[in-house]
Amino acid sequence: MEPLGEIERKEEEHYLVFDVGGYPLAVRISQVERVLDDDAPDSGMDTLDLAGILGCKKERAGFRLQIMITDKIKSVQVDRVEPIKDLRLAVWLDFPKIMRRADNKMIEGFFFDGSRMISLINFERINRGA
Amino acid sequence: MSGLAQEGGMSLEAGLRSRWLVFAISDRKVAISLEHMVIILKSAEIFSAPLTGKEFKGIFYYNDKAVPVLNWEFLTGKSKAPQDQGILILEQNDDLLGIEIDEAAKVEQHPFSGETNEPGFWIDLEPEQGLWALNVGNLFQALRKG
Repeated sequence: MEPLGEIERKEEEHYLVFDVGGYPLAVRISQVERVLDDDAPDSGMDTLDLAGILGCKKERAGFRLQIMITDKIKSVQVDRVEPIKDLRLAVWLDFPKIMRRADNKMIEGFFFDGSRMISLINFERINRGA
Repeated sequence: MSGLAQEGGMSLEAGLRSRWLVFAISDRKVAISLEHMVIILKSAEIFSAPLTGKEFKGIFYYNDKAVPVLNWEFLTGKSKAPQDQGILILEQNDDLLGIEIDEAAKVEQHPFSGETNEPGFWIDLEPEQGLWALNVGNLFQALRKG
């Protein structure tokens, strides 16, 4: 029987890879509405302090992601954005059970591409107070 | 397990249970029972990941799994990890845990099996040698609770 994480991954296999505080992170493209330069005009929408949630410092002004979280679009500042990726060649690794805590439920697991461990973020779980 | 081979009055099972990997960390001589050992890796690239908690130093890839690496500071209160380290992988109830160990670690045999109901992470294994055994069961239990 395939692990649930692997099944979900096959259903949606395109991701936006970005950096916050030196961590390589990924989000499902279906959750991303737009990617903007950080100096683009601010539309006044709610912001989500992802660097603060992850306990790291935002390294430099880079980009803003507009993410759909529970039917509401929020703006998320990130340091760097990579071209949209198909991560089928990366190995999917489930998040270790022994490390699971209430505050890291937003991290579903990791894509390992041989040189990086990219954390898959589920923004819907952040909204639930994870 | 019945019908165990007897060797010098000690059962094979008891003999295996009393084997320990012994190495030094900071000023402490540490022993880890081989009962839970999966493998010792000569090296592994450890990656940091967000929100993994102070108990863990990071994760590494092993056998299609992300394996957490124990932060020695969580156990000893000191940030120093063993020098020239390899990584010992322990397993309990399907959970894997990597522990950095000194490459100069040696296997020794001690009469105590390591099974105890005492609380805490350390067991005074050989007081006259200053040798402390890691209570692997209590460690896994504490890590699961977070």
